[in-house]
Amino acid sequence: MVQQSKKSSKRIDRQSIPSRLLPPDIIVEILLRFPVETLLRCKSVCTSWYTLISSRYFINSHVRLIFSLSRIRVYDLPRKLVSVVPVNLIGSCNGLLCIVQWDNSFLYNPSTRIYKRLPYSGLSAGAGYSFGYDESSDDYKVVGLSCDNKVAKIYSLKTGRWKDMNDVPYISPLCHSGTFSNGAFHWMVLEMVRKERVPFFRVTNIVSFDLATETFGEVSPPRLYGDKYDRGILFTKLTTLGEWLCVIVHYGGSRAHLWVMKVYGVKDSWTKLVSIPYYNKEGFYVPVSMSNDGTATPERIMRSFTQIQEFDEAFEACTHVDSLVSPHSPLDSEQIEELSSYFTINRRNCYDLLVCTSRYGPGYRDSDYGVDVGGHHHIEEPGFKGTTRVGFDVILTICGGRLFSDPHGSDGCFTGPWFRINYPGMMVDCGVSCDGHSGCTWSRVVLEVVSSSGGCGVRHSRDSSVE
Amino acid sequence: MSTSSSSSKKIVLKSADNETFEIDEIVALESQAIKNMIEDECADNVIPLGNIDSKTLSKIIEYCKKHAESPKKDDNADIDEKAVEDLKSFDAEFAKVDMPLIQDILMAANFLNIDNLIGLMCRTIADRIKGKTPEEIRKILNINKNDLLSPEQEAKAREENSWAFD
Repeated sequence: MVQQSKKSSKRIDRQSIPSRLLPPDIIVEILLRFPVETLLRCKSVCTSWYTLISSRYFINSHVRLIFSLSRIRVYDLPRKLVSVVPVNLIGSCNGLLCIVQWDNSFLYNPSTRIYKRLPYSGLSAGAGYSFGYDESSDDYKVVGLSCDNKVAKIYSLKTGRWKDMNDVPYISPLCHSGTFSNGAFHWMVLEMVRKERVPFFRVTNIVSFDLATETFGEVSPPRLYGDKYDRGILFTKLTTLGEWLCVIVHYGGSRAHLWVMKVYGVKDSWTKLVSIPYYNKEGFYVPVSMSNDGTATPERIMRSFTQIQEFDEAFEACTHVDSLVSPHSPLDSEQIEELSSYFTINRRNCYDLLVCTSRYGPGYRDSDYGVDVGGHHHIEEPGFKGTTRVGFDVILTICGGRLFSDPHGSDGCFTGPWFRINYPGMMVDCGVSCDGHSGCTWSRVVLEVVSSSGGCGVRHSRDSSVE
Repeated sequence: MSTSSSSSKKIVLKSADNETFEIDEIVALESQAIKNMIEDECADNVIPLGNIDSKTLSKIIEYCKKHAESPKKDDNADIDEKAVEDLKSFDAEFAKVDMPLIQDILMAANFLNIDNLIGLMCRTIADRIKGKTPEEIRKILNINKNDLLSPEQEAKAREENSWAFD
């Protein structure tokens, strides 16, 4: 035998085992590709698999490895939450969802179906919540802000407690649900001004709250005012687009500009990414996610969107990954050291898209008031498996409801037009529509845009039809 | 099985059952392990691969040839879509072999350090055991019988995740 390089000589020993026993690092490689459901079943294969799959290291690596394709999924809510009380989707982080129902908050992993009801925060209904992950302490945190801006609480999954936050700066009541990005929550500060007797809100600042240090700070907003168009600004919304903090600015009935902060904290890095023309004066779009990996075909995405129409209700949507992360306090970490040598972490940006019906939980129909019917919608895209890795391009949601959107003052049905986005490498046609419900301040419909070869979209309305 | 593109440098691989394979160096370089050997100048004329049989080795060479000939993604951003599709369908065809051979290829690819092939084989195994019961998976992957869960543990695992067994 010729002399081997050091790297491969280590592997020879394993190879000399006569049977076809796969080495542990290969087993890990294989298991990391499985969706959560399969992994749960695989726990029964043998004790080493059980230990591996339960280990925090595996769970965390699994979060970071893409194993599923981008698609729309509708998960069941925990049975206890399915009721007539509206459910608010606060956010999704590493496969954990934060859900608020009236004045109760929950962390829920829809893939393992394990949920945890958080202790009462002391905040009454109507408070705004934010949910995020603190990498430095490997902890999940929830912040709640009371309607009147006077009380703020922070919950840590590790301590299991809410505690008071001090020195909370002013945050506009309209923006109490924070945006999680770059390890911090963000809220916009708005100032009301009158323009030809019509009140409108102007962004004056962005307040941030760093989850690691638990301190407030500020991030400069993009320069939106001071040009001839600023009078046309109807409403602005803060959100995230991939890793970027993002502000979408809607100009009266004609177009929306999407700004992203390419280098976090650097004011000059605010870039106008894309300008989206409207063909219709109603409705406001909010981006959810984007990537430039344009391998999805329009037909495929189209199919997943037509599936959404099976739902008769308003939606809330966010990007979501399938994971084993538990909403309970961290598992034993003993295994970590031992297992860490097996892993190569592959971080790729690909998300599942989560859709939850916002108002009454999945399965609710008017005619079945309060009854858990059809609560098991689990949409998997048929024929959508195999090797193609699909990234999201731009996903937009439309926000409807009383706060911003209806120029006629009623909670009507917004039917958006199809519109086209021109962006380097992609040209897409999309359509959006959305139902606003009386008493429902927010309803969102997901819209996904796919790059390059074409476009697609979803319409969701009572008389919806996709052209 | 030898390739014969004129002047390029040749490498000879020798399988466990003493069959020799003459291939272009460029094909051999798909293997990070062989590449290291060549770079460290510790590759003789003939590289013996004492733990890979000829059947497995010929499959691996087939794979490396195809991938060496295809344009690399890093080289060119505007990579020909047809070439990508072509490679994809080659990979799909390539993986249509029985389970023991897949495991042999996987272990050989692991030894030779051919990343893409390891990935392809892991994906293939994952696809094949995805819908299987724990019992079937044990059989397919030859799991050590001494490592089974006790009946109590197994019952507990099933109870925790009973919905996943539906």
